[in-house]
Amino acid sequence: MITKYRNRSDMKKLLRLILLGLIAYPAINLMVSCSEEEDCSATSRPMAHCYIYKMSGEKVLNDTLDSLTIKTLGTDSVIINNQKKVREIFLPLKYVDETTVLVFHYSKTLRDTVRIYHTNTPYFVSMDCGYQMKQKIDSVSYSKHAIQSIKINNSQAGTDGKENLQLFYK
Amino acid sequence: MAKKISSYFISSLLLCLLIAIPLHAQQQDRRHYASADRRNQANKNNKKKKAPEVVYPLYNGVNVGLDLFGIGNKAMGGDFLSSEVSVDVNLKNRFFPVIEVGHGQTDTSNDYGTHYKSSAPYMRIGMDYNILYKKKFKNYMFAGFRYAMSSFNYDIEALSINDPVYGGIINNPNQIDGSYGGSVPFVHKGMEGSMKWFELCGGVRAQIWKDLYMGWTIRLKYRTSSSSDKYGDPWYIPGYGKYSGNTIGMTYTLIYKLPF
Repeated sequence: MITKYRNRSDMKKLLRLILLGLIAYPAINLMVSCSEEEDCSATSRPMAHCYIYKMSGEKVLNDTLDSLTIKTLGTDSVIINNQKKVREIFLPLKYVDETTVLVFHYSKTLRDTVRIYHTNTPYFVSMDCGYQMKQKIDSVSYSKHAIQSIKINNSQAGTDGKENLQLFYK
Repeated sequence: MAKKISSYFISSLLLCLLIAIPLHAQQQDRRHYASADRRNQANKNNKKKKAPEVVYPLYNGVNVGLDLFGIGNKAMGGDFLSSEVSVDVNLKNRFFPVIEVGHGQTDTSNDYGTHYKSSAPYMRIGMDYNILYKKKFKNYMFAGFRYAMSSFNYDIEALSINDPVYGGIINNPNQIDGSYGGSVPFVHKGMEGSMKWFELCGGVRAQIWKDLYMGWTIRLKYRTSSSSDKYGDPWYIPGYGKYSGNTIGMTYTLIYKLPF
């Protein structure tokens, strides 16, 4: 007899728990779904991040350019427009081609042409965030009117602020 | 967000209906117990007896289950369809080693013209522990775990569209080059991925008629390892849900206890 009453009491508890699950599941699911809002920062455009340097004997010194305008070759799209005291620059690389040619204007007469060869890999992130373009810098060629040399420090252009190219000026 | 909330509302409604069946069965059980008590009161004297302890044998039968939640989810407008069969063995009414085998699929397009398609099997293996193992009634409350895996292919397409009348191409809106112009189409079929994950489970199971039971299980899922293709992450993992580090899932199972 006592066992049966105990069983009935347990049944009540089980019923309560079933009801608790009924209420809790949609609530938990809604909370999880809200917290699952995706971070889509990975899909922002990667940039080639460059810093300006100059050599003093064996020493590498930070440098700044007094004035800089950067245009694309052919289309004349302006990437940077007459920026003063330039220490760092961010260069977008083409999605459609795997060679980006940029013309650096330092003054009306002095300019350099920089050719960046890169490999593009479109990458699907998710249905909500879309895609990102992974761009790996393979090599760089350049004229040497003001530029002394360019060194690839980190080949993967990204959104994390890591330095990709070191531009050494005369 | 409104779409999500409405889908939760609908799923809650379905859940109410599904849970009402075992509840009804349990209420019948309660009535049965109550009438039995009255009979006992009439027939027995007031001599108090110590309740005999319930001892179950090692083997108590095999249960085969069919998940209804994965099918219902798609029927209510969800993106994913999964069908799953489970087999468990009742050992001492306490331990329930279980294997769950299923098949998940999706064929979905989004507003930006990305088409995602995947279809693959998955498997889980684990054990449930019946917290109510001492009880006589045929209802169970489980806590358990699973280790699960799925290996799958997935197709993703997002194309530029040609204008057949006037010529020219409408850009693929997913990969427009905002700095230089132009866009890149994305067509990759047969990409390969895999994932292994661990689940913590909790749920109940109630007898609804003779050897037929119903139960639900809530599952907290944690990714242990995964691999993606060179051109993109998977979006849907069969048996897991949306690709992420952890998620929550549910199964609502119709169970038949085999007669041997």
